[in-house]
Amino acid sequence: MQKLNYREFELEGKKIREANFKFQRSDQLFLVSDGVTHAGIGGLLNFGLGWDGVAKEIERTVRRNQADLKYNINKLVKVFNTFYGDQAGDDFTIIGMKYRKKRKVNIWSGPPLKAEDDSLLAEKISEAEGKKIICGGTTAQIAARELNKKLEVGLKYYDKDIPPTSQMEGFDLLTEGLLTLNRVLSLLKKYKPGQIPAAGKDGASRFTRLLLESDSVRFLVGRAVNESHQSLNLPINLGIRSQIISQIAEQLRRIKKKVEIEWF
Amino acid sequence: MSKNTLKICIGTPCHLMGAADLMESVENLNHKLREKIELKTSHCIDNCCEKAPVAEFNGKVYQDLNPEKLDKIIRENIK
Repeated sequence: MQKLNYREFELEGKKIREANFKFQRSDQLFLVSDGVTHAGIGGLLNFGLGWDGVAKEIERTVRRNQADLKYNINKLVKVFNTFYGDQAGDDFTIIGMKYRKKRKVNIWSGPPLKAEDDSLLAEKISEAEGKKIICGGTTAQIAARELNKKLEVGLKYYDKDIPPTSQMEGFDLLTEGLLTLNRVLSLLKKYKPGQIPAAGKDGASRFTRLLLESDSVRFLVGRAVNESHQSLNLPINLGIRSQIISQIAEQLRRIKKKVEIEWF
Repeated sequence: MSKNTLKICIGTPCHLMGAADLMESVENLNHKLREKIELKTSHCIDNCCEKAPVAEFNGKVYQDLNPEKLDKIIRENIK
């Protein structure tokens, strides 16, 4: 933990502090308001934590969990609030930043219009850089066949409305198609930037978390109509895959994710 | 080793038509019966989605199921 040296000057009557430093991969930067350095006054301490006390708490929290900045910030809010005896006498703000590699996620959903593209799509997803999701039971079966991999279909319902997830070597998540996509869309619509993504072990919650944790999202979308769905009188608002995915893309762009869609 | 294999389809149409209820009914079978059955799932059985939900018990496909029908099939065909 290192204190930044800054110079101070006035600009249009406002006091400005400016610091220059080199930020390197895996570095983390924390900015706190005076509400944090005062934490403890009127609570556990006579004079508040001060810079050194705050630095010590941040260092201790970060050392325990290097990977997850959002978790650490949440944890620090709780720690500092505790110094206030859980009744903060001042508002306080913590900003955390981390230099990390760009995170990518790739999603293949739906069989292609042309059956001869099955192998192309299977190849594209298996060679993609970053995390990999297959969305759709039929799609998973095609991938297993083309890649000659074993598909293990899951048994466990974590949410009675979302069918179980499956497993296949080389993939981070395999979910059911349409119902899962619809749930992902509704979770994304409710999401506000900075929120900690919803917990939940079902396929849609896991899917949503992978999207939110990524900086860029690439969809490979097959547009073949699933004959099996035509026989059901599916509610109209379940929509069709390409529309749901377009709406998911729109939601992801709203929260500043880079989104690419390739149609097949 | 379980002598009997029950495969339940959890594809979208089967799910919507009650596959989760079938799974639950199997878990709620009495212990003696349940331990004789190996439960599996599938993304599709036999492409007969218009007759969902579908399951396969000891190699034979059954369509348009509900927990009562499945229970009967299991009791009549269990080895």
